[in-house]
Amino acid sequence: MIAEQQSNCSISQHLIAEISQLRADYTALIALRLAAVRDLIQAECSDEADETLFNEAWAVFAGLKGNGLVKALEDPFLDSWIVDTNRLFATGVHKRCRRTYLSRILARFSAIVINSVQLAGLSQASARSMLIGAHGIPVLSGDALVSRQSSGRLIVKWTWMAGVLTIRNATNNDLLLEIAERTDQPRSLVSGWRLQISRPFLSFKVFSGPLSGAQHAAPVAVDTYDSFLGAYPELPVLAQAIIACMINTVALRDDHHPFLGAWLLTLAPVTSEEVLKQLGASLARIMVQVYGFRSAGRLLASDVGLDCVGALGERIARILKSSTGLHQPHSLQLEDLLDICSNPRAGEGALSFSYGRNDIDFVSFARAANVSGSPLDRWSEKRVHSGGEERLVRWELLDAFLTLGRKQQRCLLETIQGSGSQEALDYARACISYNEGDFSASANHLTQCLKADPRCENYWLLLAFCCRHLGFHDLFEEIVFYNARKAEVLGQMWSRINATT
Amino acid sequence: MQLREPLQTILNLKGNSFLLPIYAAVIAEVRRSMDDWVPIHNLNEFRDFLHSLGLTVLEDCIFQPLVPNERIGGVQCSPTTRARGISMKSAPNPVANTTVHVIVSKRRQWAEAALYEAWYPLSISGDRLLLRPKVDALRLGHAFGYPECCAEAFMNLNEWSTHSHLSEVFKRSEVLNWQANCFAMRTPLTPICHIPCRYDCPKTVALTTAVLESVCHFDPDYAFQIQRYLLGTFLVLNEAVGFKLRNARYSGPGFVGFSSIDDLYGTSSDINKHVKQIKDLILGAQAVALEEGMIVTIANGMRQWYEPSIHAEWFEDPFIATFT
Repeated sequence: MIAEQQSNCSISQHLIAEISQLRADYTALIALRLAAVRDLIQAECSDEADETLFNEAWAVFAGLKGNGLVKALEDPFLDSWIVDTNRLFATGVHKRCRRTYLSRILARFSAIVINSVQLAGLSQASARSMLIGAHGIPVLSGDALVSRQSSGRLIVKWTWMAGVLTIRNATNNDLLLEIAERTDQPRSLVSGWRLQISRPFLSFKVFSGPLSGAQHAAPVAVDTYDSFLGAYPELPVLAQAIIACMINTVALRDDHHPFLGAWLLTLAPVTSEEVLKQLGASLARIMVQVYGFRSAGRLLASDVGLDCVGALGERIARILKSSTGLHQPHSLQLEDLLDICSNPRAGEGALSFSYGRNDIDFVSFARAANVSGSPLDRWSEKRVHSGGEERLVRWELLDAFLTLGRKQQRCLLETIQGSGSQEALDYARACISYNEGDFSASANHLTQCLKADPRCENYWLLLAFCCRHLGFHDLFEEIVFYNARKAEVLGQMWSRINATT
Repeated sequence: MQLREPLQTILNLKGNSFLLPIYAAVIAEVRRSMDDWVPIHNLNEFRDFLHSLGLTVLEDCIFQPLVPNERIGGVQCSPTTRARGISMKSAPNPVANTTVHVIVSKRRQWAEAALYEAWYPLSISGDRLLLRPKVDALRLGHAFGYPECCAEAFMNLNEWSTHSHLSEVFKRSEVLNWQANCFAMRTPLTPICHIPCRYDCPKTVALTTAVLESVCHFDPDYAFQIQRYLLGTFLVLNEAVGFKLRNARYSGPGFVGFSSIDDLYGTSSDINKHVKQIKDLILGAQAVALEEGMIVTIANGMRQWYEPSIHAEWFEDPFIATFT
């Protein structure tokens, strides 16, 4: 019993160290990401940055220093805002849909800063913010609505002083909302804030991110959460909050809202040794996994699949339901992701042989050949093996080759040839032939690829499409519907190709 | 829906009224070929009837609808097709709505060319999706006889998670010509099955004119109904959510009032929580406007709004278009 307690204690210490390191990495990288996004905004849409009060908010944020800045950078809204903004720029939406998306996301930053200055522990601050659509002020991990009269623009003047946040209509100076700090009777599990409502206060969704208009009167997640609290009154604070994350994720999974990360980052500051000691070691470890999983995804500036997070949530639920807990550590995903996190594009800098076990990666080739057309990150696709975790062939390379002219194709082929990877060269030639409509040639190159990796689904499925185009519908079906992965299929294909030629 | 022959028999055999104008166009060789989905129990009768009209029918494979919440790897990559592909050689268990994917053409050569390209993202062995290489979409457009300019535009704009293809076309259109209105594609009242490169694309306008002439040959009333439906005002978010605003009129600053609306996609689009939310909002409204890129509605004097979400499964970029 004592030995088990000691073991738990040492695991807790280890977890605390892991969390601390994750937080430090996260904070450092989010600062860099934020600066990069701001540069993009200045370069691409400086007018909108003025118009939406982004610049005014940025001036407030840029004034934060030292520990206050570190705390502000942990604002969960900031992380999801950066992800969304990067997505707008990466997809060109900021140019195509300035009104629909760009203005709203820039204005959103001006509201997020209100939350950030509170987290930073400033004694006082004041600025204007623009609210578009749902007129909500980010508070903790939800939005406090200050008005629902209009979907148009509302400019508010906010003041943070002596632990009290005051929001006023900047046009007529009407008081819209006041939020005061009270630590003696916390209403929320994650902080000591208490809302004191002075003027129209319509709804407060604790467990949601930005509200959309039709959602604001339906705090479903809160109800669900309350029922969980009733069912598990003995759970420690952090475990309750994890359940809330899980419910929220499951509820919002269909909408692809990346709020789980926001929640866990909110929780991170309240993680303490005392809380961890209350948790079972397995649950604590999974909590760290989820946190690390999301953090890793964020650091890579790409959202990890919510399916995976949902699966982790289900695992948490199972543990909570059975008091026995799990005895096997589940650190594989976390360790893998942290590894990726610390070295997201291994070997990318040099022209190395990156045609690897997991990816069919032409990024370094494309860079060396200086090809234009598709962005560099499109020059890679997952190598799919039957029975493996990755099951979907997305044809990124095939599609990327479509963007190249003949001269660039030749240049790229020469670069690949120079690398000495025959398999990579064969697949490149197979893609080019397929796109050009020479299906016999493509099938020939794919047959060579299959000699190097007979289990590679990318090769088999493209070969199936070649068969379809060549009029061998039955062979297409053998591969696709009956999972035939054998030499006989290749033999039949070649005898028919030879017969027709 | 009561039509004249042979359209009525085709409707009866295939069990729905979609794509009927296209059959008329294929018979007249205005379109090289088309594809459709026929209930498996009617396949023989359907094939025999089309043969009697001088048409070739080639079978691709069986489409068996996925069970709701069935776990298929990569299913999120397929916005519209949610089915398991089964070889015609297999005898499937009888499941409601099981259909056979067929290619129809006046000439066997054209039918074969279309069959090679016409793969949809179906679930295959191993419970995973098999996506189609992008270049095959271009080839399929050619095989079906779509205008080259529109097939090219499709290649560039049909990224449904980051673009609203329909909205991008709207932005590049100077005139909204009803003959290039493709919003009725999921209704019985469409003469075209492709998204034009512009809503005034001359080749699409010419194609529509020719298709309607071939419909008129069999059923003039039907051709007139199609034309009447394509004229008017539409609110569209993307290829999954769109509405025809009936008797639309401008009522107040920026607002369009209407007597009733038609849900252009009905239950054919996958109804997730997000889509249901916007549909409920619009279906209960009497007027609509776009403000700050958001959809604002008035329902019984109450003002409500919908913010397009960057996290929506289909990229949302709403617009209101009036075709004349």
